[in-house]
Amino acid sequence: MEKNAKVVNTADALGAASNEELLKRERRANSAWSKLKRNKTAMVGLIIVCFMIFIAVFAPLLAPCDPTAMSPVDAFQKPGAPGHLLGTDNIGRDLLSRIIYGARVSLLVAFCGTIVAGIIGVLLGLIAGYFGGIVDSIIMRVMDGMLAFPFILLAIILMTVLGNGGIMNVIIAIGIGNVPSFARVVRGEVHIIKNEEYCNAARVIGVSKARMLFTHVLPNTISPLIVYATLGIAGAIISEAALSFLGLGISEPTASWGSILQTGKNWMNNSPYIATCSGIFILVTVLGFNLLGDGIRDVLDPKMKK
Amino acid sequence: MNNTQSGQPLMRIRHLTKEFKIKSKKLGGKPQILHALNDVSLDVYEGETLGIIGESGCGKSTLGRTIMQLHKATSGSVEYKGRNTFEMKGAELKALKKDIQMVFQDPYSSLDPRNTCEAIISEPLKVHKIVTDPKKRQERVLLLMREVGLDIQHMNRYPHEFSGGQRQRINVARALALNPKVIVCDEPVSALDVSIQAQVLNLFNRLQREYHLTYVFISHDLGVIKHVSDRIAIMYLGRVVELCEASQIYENPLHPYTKALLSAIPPESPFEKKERIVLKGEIPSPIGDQIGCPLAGRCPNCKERCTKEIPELKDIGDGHQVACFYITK
Repeated sequence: MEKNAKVVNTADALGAASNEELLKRERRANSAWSKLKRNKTAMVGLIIVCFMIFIAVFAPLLAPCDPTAMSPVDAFQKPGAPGHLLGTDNIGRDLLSRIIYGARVSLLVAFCGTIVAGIIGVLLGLIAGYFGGIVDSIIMRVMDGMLAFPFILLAIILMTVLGNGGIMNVIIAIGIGNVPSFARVVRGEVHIIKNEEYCNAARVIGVSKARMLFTHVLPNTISPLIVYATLGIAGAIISEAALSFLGLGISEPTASWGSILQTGKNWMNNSPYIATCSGIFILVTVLGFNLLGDGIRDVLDPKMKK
Repeated sequence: MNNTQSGQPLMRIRHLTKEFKIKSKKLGGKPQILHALNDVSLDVYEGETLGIIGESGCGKSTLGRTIMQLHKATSGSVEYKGRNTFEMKGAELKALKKDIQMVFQDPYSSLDPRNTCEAIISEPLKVHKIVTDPKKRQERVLLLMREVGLDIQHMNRYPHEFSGGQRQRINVARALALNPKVIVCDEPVSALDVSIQAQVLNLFNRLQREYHLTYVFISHDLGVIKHVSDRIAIMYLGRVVELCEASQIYENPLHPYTKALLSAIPPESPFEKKERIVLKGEIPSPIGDQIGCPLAGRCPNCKERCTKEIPELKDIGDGHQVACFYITK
C-alpha cells in the first residue's frame, strides 16, 4: 500500500503527462514481445524455428548440390566425404542438400496442416461447447466418427478424394485428419469456461454471443490449445512422412524429411547416418516448436510476470 | 439513504418461480424437481435499498440471478417500468441491461483473468457503444476508477494482482459504467474481510447517494443488511416470509422464523442477557412437492392448518407483510 501511495504522489506531482508515461512504460514492459524476450527457453525455441524457416526459404542459395541429381557411383558416401558434408543416400544424392530442400516441404506441411486443423477444430469446438444440446451432439458425434478411423486410414481416404500428389492436398488431408482432436480439446475447455462467473458477468453487461466466444471464452482456452498445437506440428511432420512412404504424399524426387527418414530406414544397418541426419533435424525442429509454444503460453498467461 | 416509497414501484417481481430439474441417478428414473424460488412477489421502489436475507440455500442468489435472466424463470414475471423483462428482445433487452446491472459475490471469479482492469471496465462502454473514441473511453474508465477508489496505476493490471476489496471495486466500476438505475448486489461483501467490508459498503452507500441508485441487496449477514437496507425481505426455503421497513424488522419481528433469525445476533454487551430462540430440526429439503407452511416442522406454534396449507404473504399494516396464518392486525 505504501508503495502505491508513493507512486500516486510522484505521478500527481509530475502531472498528467507523467501518468501517461507511466502507463505506457507498464504496457511496454508487459507486452508479449518483451515478455518473450525475457523467457530464455522460449528464445532458444524461437531461434531454432527461425533457423529452420531460414534454411527452408533460402534453400537454393544454401544447398551445395542439386537435391535430385543422382550419381550411383557416389552412393552411400559417409558424412564428411569431400563435396558431401552429410554423405549421400542409396542413389548418390547429396544428403545435406536434400535435408535443406526437405525443410521446405516438411515445415510447410507441418505448419499449415496444424493451422488448418486448428482453425476448423477450434471453431467447431467453440460452437459445440458453447451452445451445447443438439448442436453439440451433432458436431461431436461426427468428430467421434472421424476419430474412429485410424489417422492414416483417414488421410488415405482424404488423399484419394482430393486427388493424389501436390503439397496442398497433403496439407488439407493432414489438417482435416487432425480436426477432431482439436475440437475435443477446445470443447472440453469451453464447457468449463462458459459457466465461469466472468462469463455470467459478461452476459449481464449484454455482450453478443460472438464477442463472448472470441473475447472471453477463446482466450481462456489458449493454454491447452498451444500445447496441443505444438505437439500437432511434430505429429504432422511424421504424418507427412508416412503418407509419402505410402506413395500418397509428396512424390519421390522431391525431398522431405519424412521421405529421407523412410529411405534411410531401409539402409539402417549399413548407413545409419541417412535416417539419423534427417531424424535429428525433425527432433530439433519439434523441440524448437515445443519450447516456443511453452514460451508463448507463459507469455499469454497474465499471471506469469517474469 | 432516502426512502421514496411513494408512487409506482420501479421494478415489480410477480409470482416468480424457479424450479431446477435434477436428473435421476437411476436409468430411466423420473427427474426430481428442486423448488429454488416459490411464488416470490416483491416491489422495488426507486432510490431504495431492498435487502434480501436468508440462510444459505434459501434461494436468495437464485432470485438475483433470475432477475438478471442468468436463470430462466419457470413462471412469473419481473416488470421494469411496467414492461415484462422476460418478454423483451433485441434493442429493448439491450436497453434493459443498461438499466439493471449486477455485482457478483466472488470478486475474483467474476473478472476475466486475461483482461486488464481497463479492458474489464471499458467492455460495457464498448458493447453499448456509449463511448466509441478509444482516447475518450480511456478517460471515462479512469473517471470510473477514481469514483470507486482506484487510480491510474491500476489500469494495466490483471485481476490476480489486486486485493479482494480492490477486485470488488473493479466489479462496481464495471456495473457503474452503464449508468444503471438498479444494481442487484449478490452478496457483494461476503467474500471480503470485515474491515474491507465496511469500506465497500460505504462505497455502495456513497454511490447510491450520488447516482440515485436503487439496490437489491442480497446478503446472509444480518449486520450488513441492517447497515444498508431501507426495507428487508426475509426468505426461507424459496419463499418470502416477511417483508417490512428495516427498522421494523429489528424492533418488531413478527414471523416465527424472523424472530429466530434475529435472536441469533449476538448481544452487544456480554452482560446483556438475550433470549435465543432455537428452531428444532433442519431446514427441509427443497426437492419434491411442498405441502403446508415451509416452517411447519420447526415452528414453535405450529397448528394443524400449517401442515396443510401454504400461508400467503399478507399486509398487516404499514407495509409490513408476513406469511403466517396466526399473525393478524
